[in-house]
Amino acid sequence: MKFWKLIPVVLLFFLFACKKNLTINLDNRTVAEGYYDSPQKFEQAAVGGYVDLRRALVANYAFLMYGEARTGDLAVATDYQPAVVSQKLTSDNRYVKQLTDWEYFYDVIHDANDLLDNINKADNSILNGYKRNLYKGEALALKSYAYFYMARIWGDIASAETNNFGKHLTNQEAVTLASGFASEAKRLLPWRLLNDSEIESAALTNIRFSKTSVTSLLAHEELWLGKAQDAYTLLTNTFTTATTDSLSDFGISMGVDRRTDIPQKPLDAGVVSMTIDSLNAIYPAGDSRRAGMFNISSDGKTATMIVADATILPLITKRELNLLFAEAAWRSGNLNAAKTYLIRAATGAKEDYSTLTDATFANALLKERRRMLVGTGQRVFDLIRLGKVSTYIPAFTDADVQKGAAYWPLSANSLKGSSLSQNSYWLSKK
Amino acid sequence: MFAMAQTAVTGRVTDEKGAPVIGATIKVKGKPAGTQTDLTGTFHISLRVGDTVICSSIGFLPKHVGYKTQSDLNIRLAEDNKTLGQVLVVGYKSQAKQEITGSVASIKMDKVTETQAAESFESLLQGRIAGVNIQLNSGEPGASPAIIIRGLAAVSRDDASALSEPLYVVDGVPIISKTSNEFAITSTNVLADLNPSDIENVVVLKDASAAAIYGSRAANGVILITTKKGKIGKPQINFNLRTGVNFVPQLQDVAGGDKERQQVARLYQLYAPYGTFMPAMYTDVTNPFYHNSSDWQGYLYNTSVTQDYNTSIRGAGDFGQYSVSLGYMDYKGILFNTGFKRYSSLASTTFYALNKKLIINNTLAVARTDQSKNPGSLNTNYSALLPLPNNPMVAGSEVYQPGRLNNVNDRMRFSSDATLNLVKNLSFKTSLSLEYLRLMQDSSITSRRTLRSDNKSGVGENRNLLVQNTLTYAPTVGKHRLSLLLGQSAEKLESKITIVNNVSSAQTLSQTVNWPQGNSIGTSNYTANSLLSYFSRFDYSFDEKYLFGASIRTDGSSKFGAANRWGVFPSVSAGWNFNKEKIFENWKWLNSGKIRGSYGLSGTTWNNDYLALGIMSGGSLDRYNSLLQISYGGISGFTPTWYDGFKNDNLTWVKTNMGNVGMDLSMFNNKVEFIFDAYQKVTKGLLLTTALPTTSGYNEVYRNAADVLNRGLEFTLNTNMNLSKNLSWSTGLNFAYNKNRVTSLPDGNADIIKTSTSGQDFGSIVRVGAPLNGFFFYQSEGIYQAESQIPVNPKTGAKLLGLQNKTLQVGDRAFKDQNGDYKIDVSDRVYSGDPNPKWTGGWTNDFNYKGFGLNVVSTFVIGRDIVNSALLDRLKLGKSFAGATSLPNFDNYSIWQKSGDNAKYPTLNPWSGVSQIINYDSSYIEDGSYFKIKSVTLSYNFTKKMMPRLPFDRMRIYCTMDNVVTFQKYSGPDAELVNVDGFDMSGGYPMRRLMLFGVSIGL
Repeated sequence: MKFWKLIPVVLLFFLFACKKNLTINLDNRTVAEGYYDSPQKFEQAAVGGYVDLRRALVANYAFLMYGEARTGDLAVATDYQPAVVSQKLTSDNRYVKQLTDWEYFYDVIHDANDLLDNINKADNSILNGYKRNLYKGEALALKSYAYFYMARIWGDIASAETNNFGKHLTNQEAVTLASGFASEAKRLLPWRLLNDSEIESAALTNIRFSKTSVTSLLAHEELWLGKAQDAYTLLTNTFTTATTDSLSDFGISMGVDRRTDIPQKPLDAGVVSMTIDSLNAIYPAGDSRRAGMFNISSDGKTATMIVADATILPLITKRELNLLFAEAAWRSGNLNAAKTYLIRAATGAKEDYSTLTDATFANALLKERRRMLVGTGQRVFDLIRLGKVSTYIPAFTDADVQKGAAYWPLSANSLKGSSLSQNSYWLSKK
Repeated sequence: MFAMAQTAVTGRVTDEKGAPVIGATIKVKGKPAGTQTDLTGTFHISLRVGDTVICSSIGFLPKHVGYKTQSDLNIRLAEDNKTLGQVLVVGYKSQAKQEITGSVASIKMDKVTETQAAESFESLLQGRIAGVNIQLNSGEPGASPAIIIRGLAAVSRDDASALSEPLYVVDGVPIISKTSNEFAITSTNVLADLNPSDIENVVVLKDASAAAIYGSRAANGVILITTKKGKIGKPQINFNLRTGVNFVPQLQDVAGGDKERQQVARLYQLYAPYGTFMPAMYTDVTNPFYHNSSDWQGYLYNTSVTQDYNTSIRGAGDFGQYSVSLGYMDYKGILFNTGFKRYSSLASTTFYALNKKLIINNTLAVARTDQSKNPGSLNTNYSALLPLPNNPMVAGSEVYQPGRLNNVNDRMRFSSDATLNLVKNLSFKTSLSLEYLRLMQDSSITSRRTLRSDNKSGVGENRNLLVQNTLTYAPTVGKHRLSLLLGQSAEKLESKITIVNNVSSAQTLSQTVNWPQGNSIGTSNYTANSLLSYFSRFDYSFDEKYLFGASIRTDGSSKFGAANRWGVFPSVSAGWNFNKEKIFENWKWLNSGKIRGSYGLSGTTWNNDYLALGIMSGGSLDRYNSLLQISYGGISGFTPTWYDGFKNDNLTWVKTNMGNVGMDLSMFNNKVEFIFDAYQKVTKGLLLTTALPTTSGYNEVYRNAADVLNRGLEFTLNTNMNLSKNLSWSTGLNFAYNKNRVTSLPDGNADIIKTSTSGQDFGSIVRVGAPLNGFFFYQSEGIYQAESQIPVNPKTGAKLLGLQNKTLQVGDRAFKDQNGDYKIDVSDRVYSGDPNPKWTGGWTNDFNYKGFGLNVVSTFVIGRDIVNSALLDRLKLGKSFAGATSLPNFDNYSIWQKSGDNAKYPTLNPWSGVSQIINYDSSYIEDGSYFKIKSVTLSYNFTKKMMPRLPFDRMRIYCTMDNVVTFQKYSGPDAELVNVDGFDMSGGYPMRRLMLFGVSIGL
């Protein structure tokens, strides 16, 4: 047989040796590569971040447990609040354990980082200027919010950024990182979000980050870091008379949740309440705002919150802005301006705030924040920021607070594989 | 010189039993003349006195006969008796057994199917090959046996008994032998659709040098199946008809009506808290159930019938060969509503073309298996006081839920290949094979009361497309014989499932899922993987004395990330046929002797096709078991996350290094054969999840993280003796020793306490330095006979605290407080037993006297711990023990009742709050060794000579008893019906005892 006759045979031999054979089309499964090919998919991913944030804050009434339920201002009808209010945070209760786990917050950061990666990879034909800025801004704001929340709950946390993944961040470092993201987000986010018809939509703006809410967040972070002057400058430069009409609230949309342990109405009267004594102590009778915020039960013993819109859990509200202005002004040395803002904020209060001094301002501010922001979960963070933990949480001495009692212990699951260790207060409670 | 005249003579060729050998080749030494025997074994040829006649036939040793008188021409051929044939199919080629350097065993299936009956060929191999441990862990018709070659090498964290399954290759084509869990619609043994009667022989490649040519799927051994083909001569038409009766074996011990009532009354009297009363059926004499004693087991288990019919026609000639066979098997189970049917057909043809330069083979195999089961698990364990379902008293009440479940597997396999002999010693073969396997499950359960029905229907489709090309060059130069093979293959396997089931049940006349809109839920899923391979093997022999072999394969799999896609699997081996050396020349008793050694690397992959690729999913179950709903403010949110934990691009093959040394001896005229092997198998990189810091957004990641070592010895002894002129005895004894040990685990070698997917810890542990899946139990130290025996902490004066903080009392189980903290808890559990068998093997005996044959097959396992979970579950009485399930007769068990009782089991107090009988009590660990006489067959062969009037050539009638007797120390029903992890599975389905009558006829 002639040699050339072998050629077709050899060709046949290699016909099936094509490497493409090894590429599998994952038919009805979604893959990371090539998935983000339309703005809608980016939007879904951004919304996914909010969904994870909802889980982090609302599952087990976490936002209250980290806030007013811990100080006892609000009673949450669960079997684990007694452990939380008595500061037994290393309890074996499954729900308390879950509250000491930071996993859900890192899910938010993971979502945001994924989204940012994919936005950076997407070319302009897929994502135009407005949407690119919006989703990027939302991702950054979500990430900033999650870091800031965690830093306020646990003190020191771990980085989930690619450049220093797993690195131990001190509280200052963590909030500085968060404020960096917030300040970039502030640049990118619009005052008002556009709906599918490209019309400004209040409904959308109320449940997603906008310039209002991210600026408040950034101001908060700067106040936490002690940069009161920066915060004051930021607030006065951003919120001017020209922007008054553009302001918006920010809250978490409750929606319908398939999970049974995420309450659909987290402030529902059946669960969240206040004794009438607490209410009278916080909101003395005669305060004109009280009736608009609380219902008193028929037996007169308990008060429950009036929820204007049960579909939204408010987190960063417009009404807090004056309080932020007041705090920033006071802490940067402008007491008079601070008093003006506080009086503006506390319209309806019986107290006369015009006589406040530097020494009495802090308590007045705390009092008003406690009244006006009830149900948004900020109480403990305010106490930490203004150094009043041991005053209002009698279970802790100053020494305890020094050792880290104001923060939450970390679950074993969170500590596993991380560079962090339990703070000395909670270590001693094991 | 005067040449002696040739005379036309007639001779006859028979086998050892006197049966004619058809188609035997008769040649005269040094002359071209030749002929073949006819149907009666007769041949006609011209011979001169002094000529040497050479008679040969496949399956027989060739015989040289010097012709002097007519009587010399009654030639009796000796069978090539070693069940192991002379030429074996090994990876991508055939090789003379003498030249094989790896550890390869082979079984002629005819020998097996003549004496045993089973649905699948794997169960027939049980006890036949050293080092191949086959365990039937259920007696259910169509159940899959567990096959472990040379020790278990699989790890899991959960209850999926991870098995190291071999690769199955039929006529050179790897077939679908299982479906990955997610895609397994039916639980039927996929391999049961191969009719054992269609199989010529089975070759098992045990060591790496033999198996490495199959690369990434070969680490657990390769089983090569060759189907029957036509042979030169008159067409062979065979019928094999058999039918048998399945008898119900010894069932669970049940106390029965009166005894049950007494026992319940006694337990109530002794332990029931104040104000607790027995269910009325035990106390109210007017209650119609009071006098009842239902034999639930008797009602649900019944003698049943097995039928098995096979027919075939095969033949061959200058054109090629053909072989067509049909089979039908109907095996009714002993349990109500269960059974297994198989319809099978196999057609294979070979055509020669271009003056035999081109050989074309086509094979079409079509089979259906139909397994009937009870949906859910039908309980055979109801209280003896409950009337049977057929009792009019309970008509229309929900005593038990009748229903049906059918698992139907359809397989169609078509393969076609062409071999072109290009030039001398050089041939090229290309083959294409298509396999289609459809699995269907339909189930429905109907309520007896409301007539509402729950229906489910599922279909799974598996497609396999395979293209293989090989080029072989095999020249012989003087004493040098070499063979070089180059090959390439590409394979794609796709699976798809669709399942629908109704959500709310409704009354129906139909057994299909057919509900009003909104009431049905369906799922579907798809998976695929492809494999691209290049391989080569080289074999060299010098003077048939010094042998050398090497092979290399590189596999690329779509299952791996692009960076880690290719694996290389090399092997080397060498052999020395030392009997051919001059110094052994005088050892006349030694017919052949070979020493061989090999070393190689092979691999395994995993079921999940997309594990390394990362399947994305929109919602996920987190550790707190919450499902994330993805809707936010009217917009659907979607954060794609990896479904199987953090994606690991570095996932790669599970690699197995295996070294093997062995020796084959054949002695005393090939009457005694001895095979020995020693091996070490190191399996590295078994897949396990390992924890991730939650800051990553994930909890776990799969890594190649665990290593397992198996070491073992294998012995095989085959003898074949003629005890007298008419009586012959042949025996095959094999036994294998294997010891396995975990050598590395993830997370710093942390112990893995296996937990079922539902979160239940079932007492198995994987620990470094110990054998796989050991029992992790509390160490029992008997029973507290006196208050003073309960240890007291000298520091605090507190008594030892029992499990779940129970206050210990006399009559309770005494567990050893391992850590001395005076509290029995999880930290007091210890490694308490090894479920991996140390010795496994089998012993077969064949006696032949004239036409009679007696065959006995037995198997054994020595050195294995098993848990009598069947008894444990029944003694574990809870508060509501009375009235639902049957009770065993407590008199048969050594149960503590009063101080001084030398009992094995503690007091049975159903109200103690803490179960007295706990899952992890080391008292339930027993010796699982057994010796089982698997089957005994008595047969008789009729020959043409005996029955000249009968219209057929051969007839054999036989009677087989299967599952004859088991000798065991184990107190449970059957030490074989135990799963790989060592827990008793007999409650699932006991093994029937079968009496089978059969006749096989050859035309």
